[in-house]
Parts: sequence; C-alpha cells; structure tokens
Amino acid sequence: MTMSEPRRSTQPPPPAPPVSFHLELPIEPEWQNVDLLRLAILNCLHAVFGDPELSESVGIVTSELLENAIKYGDWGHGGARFLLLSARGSGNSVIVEVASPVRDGSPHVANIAGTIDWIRKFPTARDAYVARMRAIAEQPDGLSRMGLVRIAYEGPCEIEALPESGMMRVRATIPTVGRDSMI
Amino acid sequence: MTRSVFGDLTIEVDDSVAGILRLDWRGKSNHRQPDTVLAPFFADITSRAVSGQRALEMHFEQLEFFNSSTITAIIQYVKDLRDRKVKLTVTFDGRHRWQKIFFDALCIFDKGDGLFTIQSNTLAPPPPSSASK
Repeated sequence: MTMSEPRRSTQPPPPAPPVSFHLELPIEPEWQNVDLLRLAILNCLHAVFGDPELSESVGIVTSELLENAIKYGDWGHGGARFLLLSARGSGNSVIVEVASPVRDGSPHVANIAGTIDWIRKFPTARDAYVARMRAIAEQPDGLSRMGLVRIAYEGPCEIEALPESGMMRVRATIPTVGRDSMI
Repeated sequence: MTRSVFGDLTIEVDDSVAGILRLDWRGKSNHRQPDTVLAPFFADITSRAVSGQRALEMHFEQLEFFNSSTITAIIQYVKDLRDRKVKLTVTFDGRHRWQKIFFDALCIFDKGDGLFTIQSNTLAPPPPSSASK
C-alpha cells in the first residue's frame, strides 16, 4: 500500500465540521510504523476536516509521540508487545494518545513529566521552543528532548502525561480552529 | 553532483558553482538516530567547504518532513558552522507551516554578521506527493 500527502489547496480551510470520531490501533513498536501512521492520520484528518495544515500538524504530533513510545517503551520484559495509538476528534479538537509499556521506576516517566512542566514554565510554547533550540546549540548533551517541545509549539497542543501501572500514556490535544493565533 | 541517501532522505551536493557548495534536501528525514548518519556527512561537507573556501547553501524546499531528532542535528550543525566561520545560507518553503515555524525560530542564530542567513522561497514548485515505502 502506498499513501501520499494530500495536495495543498489555495482555498482557505472550511470551518470545522460537526464531527465525532474515535480511532484506536494496536501497533507493533517497529520504527517504520511511525511514518506509516503519520501519513495515515494525516490523510484521515485531511478527509475529515479538509484542512491540510491541521492534518499535517496532527500527523507530526502523532509521529513524535510514537517515536518517544518506541524509543523509551519497555519492549523486552514480557509486558505488552504493542503500543496503543488513539485518535479522537470533534469539531473543536483532536486528541492523540499513545500508550506504551514502561518499567517501574523508568526514568522515561519522570523525563516526560519534567519536560511538560518545563514547557509550562514559559509564557508561550514558542518561548520554550526557542529556549530548547538555544540549549541544543550551547549545551549539547547528546539527547534531543525536542519532540514534546516541538509539538507543544507546532501543534499547538496541550500535552499531558498519564502514567498508569506499567504503562505510560501521553495525550496531546490539538485545537481544530484558531491555531495560528496560538503560535 | 553527488547524491547521499539516508533511508527516506536524499541530500544532493552540487559543487559546480565556484565558491558555493549547494545541498538540496529531498524526501523525508525520519531516521531513528539521524545524527549517526548525518554527523559524518556534515563533517565531510564542512571539510570540503573549508578546504575549498566555499560558502554553504542548504535548500529545504523539497523536503517533505523531518522529525525532531533531525531538528536537533540541524541546530548543532548550524552552530558548528558558525564556530568554524563557514558562511551558510538556508532556504526553505514558507508555504509549509512546519518549515516556517522551525526556520523562523532558527533566525536566533542570525547575528547579522553575514555568517548565517535564512530566506524563504515561495517561488519553488511544491514538493511532489510522497509515497511511503
């Protein structure tokens, strides 16, 4: 199967339609699935909302959350062998959630919560984004830590960390309208 | 012209114009650890720029996507080139919201000394539809 990015239109996007959908997918933690799902979500959202910029942003949010889950999930200790991708939407927002197994005491849980807290300390997500860029340039530590900062700004989206027993669920809520006024 | 392929990403290097080394990014930069493949490539490009006294031009108009790890690699390379006093011009397609957001913010590294400049090119043809393989 091949999947393409939708063609851009010069027409302004139509107002958000009164939609309601919920998609839930168990995914094997294989790296090539990240781009397959980015494009799948991008194309689904473009078909639903008719807004190429919104669908592209949700695709980016999805891919960054999946990358983190695959990189830092606990895939070798007999726990769940799948991560769970959920996308649900209405006329006002799209919520993307990715749940993945984590070991008790995993630093990944604290890292996610710490990054979200760090982003919230800034007046705007753009300020956090620029601060992270400066840190990457001036104090490279071998870690990107850019994924959540990027989607907070680019989405733009509200990010929540929802740890459960043996699982880490990360939720991003992207508004479907008024997004450019938020960046 | 030479072409380097890193998974879904291709970077074409053109040294046919005197004093210029032009890099065109095409496709998708979605490697799990892009720094592991891009760092040696960048090191070679820097060496060629320094030894040949060439300025670098990096074009992203035809790039369809990059992940956040690629963003990190680009930021570090921009910083490295500045430290080595290699002149760099970056061109992007401002019609792509994701490109505009990143490259607008990258302007923080433009110190007005001519070493690093960013420009938006909206006249280039849009990137072709990509097929995931």
